[in-house]
Amino acid sequence: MKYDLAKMLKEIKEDETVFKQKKNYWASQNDIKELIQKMKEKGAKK
Amino acid sequence: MNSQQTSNKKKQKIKVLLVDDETHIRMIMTNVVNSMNLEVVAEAKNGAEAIQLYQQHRPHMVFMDINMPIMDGKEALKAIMNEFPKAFVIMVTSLSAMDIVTECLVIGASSYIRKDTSMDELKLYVKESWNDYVKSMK
Repeated sequence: MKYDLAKMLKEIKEDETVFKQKKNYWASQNDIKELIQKMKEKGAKK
Repeated sequence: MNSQQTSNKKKQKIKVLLVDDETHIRMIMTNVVNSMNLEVVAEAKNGAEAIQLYQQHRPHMVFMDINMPIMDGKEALKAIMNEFPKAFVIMVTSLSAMDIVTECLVIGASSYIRKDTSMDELKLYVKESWNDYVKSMK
């Protein structure tokens, strides 16, 4: 069976984007770090 | 170093309140705190105890779990931030649903660390957030 790796990776990436748009997705420590950084930049966080 | 200097150095240690209902997690966190040359001044097993111990000890730093009996960490965070808006609280929890993370940060948590984070990373995050906090207080 042949696999189209590029297509599979594209689909995985799209799934991840949709997943992250949901507010209750399970965040990694990196996601949390990014969120803290964004909040600081927006001044929403001390 | 004379006794006055030793006494001053002792006074400079950052006081920490640990909040977690699981004894073994508090033991691990105590080791982390000690290895960072900080001092655990009190340990709480739930949010209600945390508020009481915060009022009593006024620690510089709090490590707060979320899932706990009687009162959860999010409610305790709200109560502490309400009474002490400059409190430095780091959530250390196995919960990492993005809505809960966001809510805690908006309430006033200085950082949010997953319990599966390695000890070295945990120490790094604590140091980074403490340095940011100290800068923001100047």
